[in-house]
Amino acid sequence: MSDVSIEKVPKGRLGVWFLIAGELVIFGGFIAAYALARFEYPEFGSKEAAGALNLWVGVINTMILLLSNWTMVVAHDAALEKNAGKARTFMWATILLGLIFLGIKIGYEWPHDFAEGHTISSAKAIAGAEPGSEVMKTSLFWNYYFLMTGFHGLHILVGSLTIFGVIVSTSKGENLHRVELAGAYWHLVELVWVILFPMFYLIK
Amino acid sequence: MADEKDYHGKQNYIMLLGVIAVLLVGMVGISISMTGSNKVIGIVVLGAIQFYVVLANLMHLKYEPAFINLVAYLSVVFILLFFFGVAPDTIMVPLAITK
Repeated sequence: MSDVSIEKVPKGRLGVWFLIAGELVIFGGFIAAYALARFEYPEFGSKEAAGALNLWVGVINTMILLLSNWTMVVAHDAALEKNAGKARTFMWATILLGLIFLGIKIGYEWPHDFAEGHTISSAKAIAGAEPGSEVMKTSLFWNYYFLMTGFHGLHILVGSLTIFGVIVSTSKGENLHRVELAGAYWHLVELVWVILFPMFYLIK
Repeated sequence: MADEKDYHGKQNYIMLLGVIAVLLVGMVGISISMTGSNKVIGIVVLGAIQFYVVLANLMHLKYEPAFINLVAYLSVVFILLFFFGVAPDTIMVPLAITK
């Protein structure tokens, strides 16, 4: 913890931290709800639920996100050195990696899940099923999975647009402090993923 | 306004990301090689360390003033409060609909 007084913290950074805290509570609510349901229903770990997810695709996506965090901190360091050109280059790389993450998630993983009959509602699968039956419980897993990875994906999209906005606003070498603010938001995306990844892909 | 150079030290990001990658490999290894509650505990512990490394170092929280630390960690406390507040009603008392 720094001994710098709160009055000296730039307002933008203070605002971003309030935003991050709010986002943590929102994601945390989802994560806590999932954890409670996971305790209640061991079926979440079955081959029809978490067992159907491809671990290695998840690992590749996690590494891509990790790499994007590295490009973002390099952009931040470049901004501190007032090297706007280098900062912009690495922010473009961050956007590219974020879009690759989304491409794998939406273009490969989700269609694969849909093809196996797993959707956010799984209406077809649960039609006529008894309350409390296994198919109802595994369907609930897919509710959580699509909701939370979808919400996380939305944050990647918003983060990418934010970084794009910072690239535009720093085009004349000004407003370089915004690189750190966009970076903090981007690291939030990583922070949430380090919880979502083990929750869905590793604890089966 | 303070320049962030005033209180942000120069960090070794390569080392930080290396630590996160090693924790990731550890979690995947535990997931593949272990079973039961040991597997869950191992993954949760490594996940919590990874969470802290990202929050404190990558997001620079450890360089921020106490008030910002309070705001960030309080959000985590609220989540835990929600979890442990609701847990007795869901985990310990089976819901009628699940019967």
